[in-house]
Amino acid sequence: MQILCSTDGIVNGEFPKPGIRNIVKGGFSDIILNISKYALDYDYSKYKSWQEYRIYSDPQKLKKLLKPVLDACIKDNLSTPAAYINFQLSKMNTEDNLTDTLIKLGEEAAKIAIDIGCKYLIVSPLSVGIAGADTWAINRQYYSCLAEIIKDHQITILLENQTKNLGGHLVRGLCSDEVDTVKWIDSLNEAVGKDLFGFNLDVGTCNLCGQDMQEFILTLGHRLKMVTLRDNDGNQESSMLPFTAVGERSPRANWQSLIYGLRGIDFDGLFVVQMEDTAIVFSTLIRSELIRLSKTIAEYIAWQVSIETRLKKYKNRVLFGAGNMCRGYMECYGREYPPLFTCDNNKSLWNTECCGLKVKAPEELKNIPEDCAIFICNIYYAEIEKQLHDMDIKNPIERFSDEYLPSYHFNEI
Amino acid sequence: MLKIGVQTQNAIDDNCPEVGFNMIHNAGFDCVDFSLHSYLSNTDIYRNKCSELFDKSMADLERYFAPHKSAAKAAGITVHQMHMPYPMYSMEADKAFNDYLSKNVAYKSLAICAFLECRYIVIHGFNLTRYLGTEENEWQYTENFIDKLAPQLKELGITACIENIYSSIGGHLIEGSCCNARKAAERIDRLNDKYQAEILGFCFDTGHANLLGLDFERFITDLGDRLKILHIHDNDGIRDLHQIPFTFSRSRENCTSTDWTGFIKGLRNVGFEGVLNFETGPVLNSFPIELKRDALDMIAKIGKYFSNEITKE
Repeated sequence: MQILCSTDGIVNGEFPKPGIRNIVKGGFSDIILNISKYALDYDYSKYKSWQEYRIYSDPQKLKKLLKPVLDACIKDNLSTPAAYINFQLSKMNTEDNLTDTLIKLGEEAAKIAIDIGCKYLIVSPLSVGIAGADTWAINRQYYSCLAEIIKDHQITILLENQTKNLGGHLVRGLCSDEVDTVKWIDSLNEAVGKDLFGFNLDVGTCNLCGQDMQEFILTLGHRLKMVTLRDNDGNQESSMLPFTAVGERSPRANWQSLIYGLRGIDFDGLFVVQMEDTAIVFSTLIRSELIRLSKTIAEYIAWQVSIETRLKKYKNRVLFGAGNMCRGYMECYGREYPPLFTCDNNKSLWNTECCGLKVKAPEELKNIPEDCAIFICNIYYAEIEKQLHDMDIKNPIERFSDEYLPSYHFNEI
Repeated sequence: MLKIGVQTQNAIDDNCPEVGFNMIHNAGFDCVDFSLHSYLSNTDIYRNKCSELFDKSMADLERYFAPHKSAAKAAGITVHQMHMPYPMYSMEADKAFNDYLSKNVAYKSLAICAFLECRYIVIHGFNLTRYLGTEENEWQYTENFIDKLAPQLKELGITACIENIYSSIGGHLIEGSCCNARKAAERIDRLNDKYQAEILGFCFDTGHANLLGLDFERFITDLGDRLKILHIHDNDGIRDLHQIPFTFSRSRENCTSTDWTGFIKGLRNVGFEGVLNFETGPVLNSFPIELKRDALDMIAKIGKYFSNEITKE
């Protein structure tokens, strides 16, 4: 699974080189570019407030504003498989029609996405200043205009779940209802006659609304192409490094629900790491270490998601380890993916049984069929992998994990 | 005009229930939501602790609640709905304790409900997704529980109402059981069809919905006529505070941070004719005794406001 780094909080639009270098040092080769962040009119002295300052008076300036970032990416061999636009205005201080301006801006952003070789363009639905009854009609027009531009360019437009501000309380907004969202996507695809539209699930947004991500994902199914990994405390909008918003010695986001959902649809799309707020508070001197950690975290999530796909991949499998992880495997997967046997380095367990499985000596692995995978059911993955390599075993080796088992309705040994 | 109800918790004293029922009546309420769950708290259930009250025989229980029944009648108050203790299943408990909950506590709750001539009882679905992996598996446990109650519900003419509830992770309140209105509607219809009686309905809880940022209007509209009863209360969107509606804002503009407009629209959409019931027991603890009655008056006035808004042409 491909993992992208968001430039938010890391790359300064006017002086992008240090940020881009940090992303490269952090081990990423792909980024997602938030085009709307650059859609600023730098002559902001004429505006009274920050909201007004973010007026997009000249969509055609966009490319010029993005040039320093794009040049820095080219220089450091960073590719941009995805871009993001979220154009919302709380006020208009021009006489133009708000929706027309936003559509023009969206169109300009779509052209840029084509130019820089994006495969995905996340486009948040328009909501601010639009009456509830008109929401779908205006967004259908918006997305149709964008579809017209990208239709011959192998780009998929991804809708994204939103919050709505109710007296300072962020509640479920557009594309937060899974059934409605599926209807929108299917209707847009039907209108253009092909699958130009999909979905990006923003985990941070789901968390702000305490939403059951598993149910959301299972309903979206194949329409889900990308997942934005970001954390927050569930109450206030922020983008933190995943697993860092905690309380009572536990995460405040339901990562289990995300992983279960993605497993349920055999997700093999893209992950984006978005940690703008965490990145901003880190000194630039150590930011590349943070970025490296964010990549490791995303890889861990991707690995957890792929566990069942990897189990399905092999016709035969054996386990290595006869402890609690083996027991977890047998409880949750033993029936569907029965192993031939398990083995363990503990001699006293040889020729005994663990959850109905024969426990053998590791030497027995030399006799298993060629297509049989060895699933390591023990956290000493690296050591066991080395042991297997030293034994000159050529079978596929996979790491199993009991950290997100699909059921916990059993007791440990 | 829709009827207005309020929770009995912190309003009714078991030693002299007539005082509380009179106060509720005088504040302008028509009905009560009898807080049966306060006799066996969820904290005790999580500690596998049995209840003295539920250990009584049915004859003793009827004797225990007879003064409440007569005091309510004398004050002109009806017991419109009540709340069964919860949860009725604990993953950490042994079979004997879970049997005690489902066979003894649940059975006696329904019998008390019938004794107080109450038509609706709120039950909590089981929050077990974390253990069982999927919401469907979780619901199966809840449905098995409802199946156990169904014959008694049918016989007594009581409708059990599942409620949108939350779960918690790291102190953050997230979706729990029965937070999908479309699924709830399908399940209610299927079970009522199975038992050929209205054994199951829905209780919409505004406070829990607010904690989860649910779309009130959409949720209520999707429920339609399966919506039988209400738990109306407010909070800051963070903690389950059970406070008076319209009292929370999270911005300096001080606009309400709870979707009361959506609530009114939803009830209007489904032609709600039930009781506007306030689950605001904790409010009575936060006001001084001298202002308890004023607090109840205010809640009743809000009920009348809701009623006017919901029923106006």
